[in-house]
Amino acid sequence: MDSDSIVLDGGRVAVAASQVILQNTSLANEVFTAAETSANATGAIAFSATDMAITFGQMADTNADGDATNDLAVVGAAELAISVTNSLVVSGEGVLTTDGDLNIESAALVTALIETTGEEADDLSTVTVADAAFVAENGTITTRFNGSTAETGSGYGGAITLQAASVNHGGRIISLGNDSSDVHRNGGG
Amino acid sequence: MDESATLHATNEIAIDTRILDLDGDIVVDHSALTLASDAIVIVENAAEQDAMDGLVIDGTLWNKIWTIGTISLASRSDITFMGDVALQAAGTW
Repeated sequence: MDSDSIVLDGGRVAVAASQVILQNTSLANEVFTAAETSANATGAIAFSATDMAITFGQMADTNADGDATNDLAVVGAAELAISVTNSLVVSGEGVLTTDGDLNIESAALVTALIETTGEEADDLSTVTVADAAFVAENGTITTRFNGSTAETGSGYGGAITLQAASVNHGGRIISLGNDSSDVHRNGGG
Repeated sequence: MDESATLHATNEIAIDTRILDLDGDIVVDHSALTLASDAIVIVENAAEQDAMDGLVIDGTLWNKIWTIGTISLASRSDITFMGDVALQAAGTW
């Protein structure tokens, strides 16, 4: 799914697939808007997949007016649940915000690099290191390890931040290289 | 697309539209479908579609496309789920 905001109107949503990809890329004629927040988050959305990736930082600010944002928002969800058999792979630079609780069950939360190459044959590749944050300002972020073996190949590195009113980290975060993994409770640092 | 129509591509079909009335079939040999719009609304029941702003994907449409290997939904603004929705894709979504 490619959008800056996933919005619920109070219902319960279940999305299941072999692979789920959440990202925020630019489309032609896209007009950027700031992510909304909901004061009445009563919905719930659950993603269930064998593999899942969240990719930030693909927006192109074509008019160079500073309105492009790489962030993703889930609006109106009292609960955002992510259940992945293998790793939840995060890449790019951006923030995933949700109004309520965020529950992640996976083999591991893993960062990945984004490598882009220009169209010319002699163009150099550009590598973007992951700098991602999961933010649940009014809720709890819970991570759980599902017992599956996480692949730990090359190409990792970056930073993952978990920020919420409370954080229960029981999962695994794999972010090798020059990286950091931060867990923040709001107000507590 | 009318009931008798078939849209057949070898690699990928990309549709960027505000309204998609799909009564016919979509066949993609290498199984990739992109649906793009200014906004996308996903709803289980077609009867709830009235006055929705954006490309509406309901259960009837989803049943025609869910087996496609890669389904990409791309919105220039929100992807909105109306009411209770349960969707399963065979491949990548």
